[in-house]
Amino acid sequence: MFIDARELDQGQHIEADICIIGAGAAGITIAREYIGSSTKVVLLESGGLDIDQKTQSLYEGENIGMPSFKLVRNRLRFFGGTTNHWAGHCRPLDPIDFEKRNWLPHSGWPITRSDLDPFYHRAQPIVGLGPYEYENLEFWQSQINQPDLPVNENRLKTVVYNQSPPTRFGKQYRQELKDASNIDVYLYANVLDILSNESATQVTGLKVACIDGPEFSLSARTFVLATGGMENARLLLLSNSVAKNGLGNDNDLVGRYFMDHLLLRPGADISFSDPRLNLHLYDAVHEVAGGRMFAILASPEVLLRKEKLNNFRMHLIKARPKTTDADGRIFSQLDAVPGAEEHILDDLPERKKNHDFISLHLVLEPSPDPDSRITLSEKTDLFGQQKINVNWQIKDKDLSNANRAMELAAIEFGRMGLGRAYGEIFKDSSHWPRTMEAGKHHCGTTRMTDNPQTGVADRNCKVNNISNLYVTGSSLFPTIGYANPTLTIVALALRLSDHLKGLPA
Amino acid sequence: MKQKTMLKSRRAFLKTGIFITGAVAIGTGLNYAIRPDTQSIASILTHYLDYPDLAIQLGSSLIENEPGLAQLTIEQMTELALQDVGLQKDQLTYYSLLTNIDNYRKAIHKDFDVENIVLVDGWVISRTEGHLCALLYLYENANGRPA
Repeated sequence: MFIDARELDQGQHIEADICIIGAGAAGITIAREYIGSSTKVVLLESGGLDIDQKTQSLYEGENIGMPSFKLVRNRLRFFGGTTNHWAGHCRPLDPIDFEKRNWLPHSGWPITRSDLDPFYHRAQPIVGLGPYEYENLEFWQSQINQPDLPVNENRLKTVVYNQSPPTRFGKQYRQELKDASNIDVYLYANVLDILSNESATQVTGLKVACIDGPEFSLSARTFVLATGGMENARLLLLSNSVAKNGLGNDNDLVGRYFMDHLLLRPGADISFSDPRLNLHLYDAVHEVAGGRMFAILASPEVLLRKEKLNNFRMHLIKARPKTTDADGRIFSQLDAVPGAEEHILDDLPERKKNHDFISLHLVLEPSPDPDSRITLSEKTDLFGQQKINVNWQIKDKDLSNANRAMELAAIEFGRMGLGRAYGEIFKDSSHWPRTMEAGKHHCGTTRMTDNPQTGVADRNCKVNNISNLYVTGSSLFPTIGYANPTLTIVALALRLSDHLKGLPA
Repeated sequence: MKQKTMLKSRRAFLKTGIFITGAVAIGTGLNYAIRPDTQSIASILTHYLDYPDLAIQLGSSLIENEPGLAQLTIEQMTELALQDVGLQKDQLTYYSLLTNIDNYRKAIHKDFDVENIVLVDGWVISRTEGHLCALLYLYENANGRPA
């Protein structure tokens, strides 16, 4: 059932078995897991069924680090959350992403890829994807008959990516939540405070309000915080009436380790030696076998271990204006392109029209850093709640990783005799190119670890030292690999719901 | 006429001339007797490059930025470019030059394979390609056609 919280009585009290705060991909996934059960679930959503600017303004904050991104526009605060505008790119994290890598400080999940594999499988249809065949390129190639690049697999590898329609969770799952008799979805319900007992070891209830009233309260046996990579931390920090540093923040870790994917769009352009080069496997989405896929180039594990690099991927993008007029087809004869001498020099406009170049878009895993953090600002929102400051500190190592990743791609296209790379990053390796931006995948601020001294949540997503408060979403990620986070967010939510179902009533 | 078009026409003429000279040399059995001079070698090698304007620019930048290349004469640069494929100037004939492109292809492939690359003006090219670009720059200068 959907309830407009603005129609509740002032001071009304609501009771539930489980209360989920936030109706994005994670919150909706957990709620759906309880459909048809005897568990009474309340799902609280700050917004309505569509975007409204007042609610959206609650996301305002200040970005005091780099690079610049828009806190209000990157996230959506209505039913379905940021899945209301996500791109739909999906892939599980790699096994190495879960490892403690000795070259990457603060890396290491408390769980492995194997632990998460069953949940990735379950997440696949929820996100609207086809066969779970990420490690089987041949499966897709046998059906679409497109060649992959003959890359040296010590440098790069071709990797399968899946494309969600993209599934808008708010629209896709609205009706079944509406029909579920044991689930109440409260719209326009903003949690202002997570209330706890005197020792801050148990959550006793929530203080909730609508922008123009009323204010009401909620109690439950179990609480799940699912408000996204920034707001999870903010709400814990704001809940400081008992624990002065905020809930779960005994070790001053809530909000730390904030990170996002580092993007270079483009990192480089490749001018083809042969304009007939077939990159269809990479530059188009293929609808086949009940799913949608495309291929990318990514870093092989052997390379990461050998060169102590962070994980990365590259998209091969054809349909965009070239960043330079310089034509790199100097070496067509030397690349043994048949008839190369016949089509040189004066056909640049024609070539640009035909897109016989590609842009390589780099997505790089950032280095986790405790000094990258979300803190509370002195500025306040419509409720008088403190807004956030986001201070993302990018490490020098990240820039050298980006340089090396692009260089590897340039080397491989040259080695294959397919083209030569041009990029701003090759002119000056000491500065980020102007094309650098953030991936809008906010992660790490309530990281999960097995040691309360280094993380906010444990391997079961329970906030340390609080018996009945769980957190889910990308804020749990200790490291983030190169893959888009949504599939992992849903997998973690499924894992958490299984855990909660196994708890004694 | 635009400079690019002039370059194209001149290079097309040169390419035809070199081809005829080579064909005559091969056809008359003189291929082992005729030894090309530095200018001819440089001309033939630089015709492996398809887009002279950018190649000259890259060659100029390389010479400017790489201390090892800055002082080289066209003769020395030619020898360096030949060394990239294991050739020596005094052993060359027109025939061996005209049939040499495969060796450059292999050398460039190997360069990339072992990461023997240079970064110049935002481009990533092989060391051998860099030498050819530098040679083209010197060749154009030597013939009164500064880039």
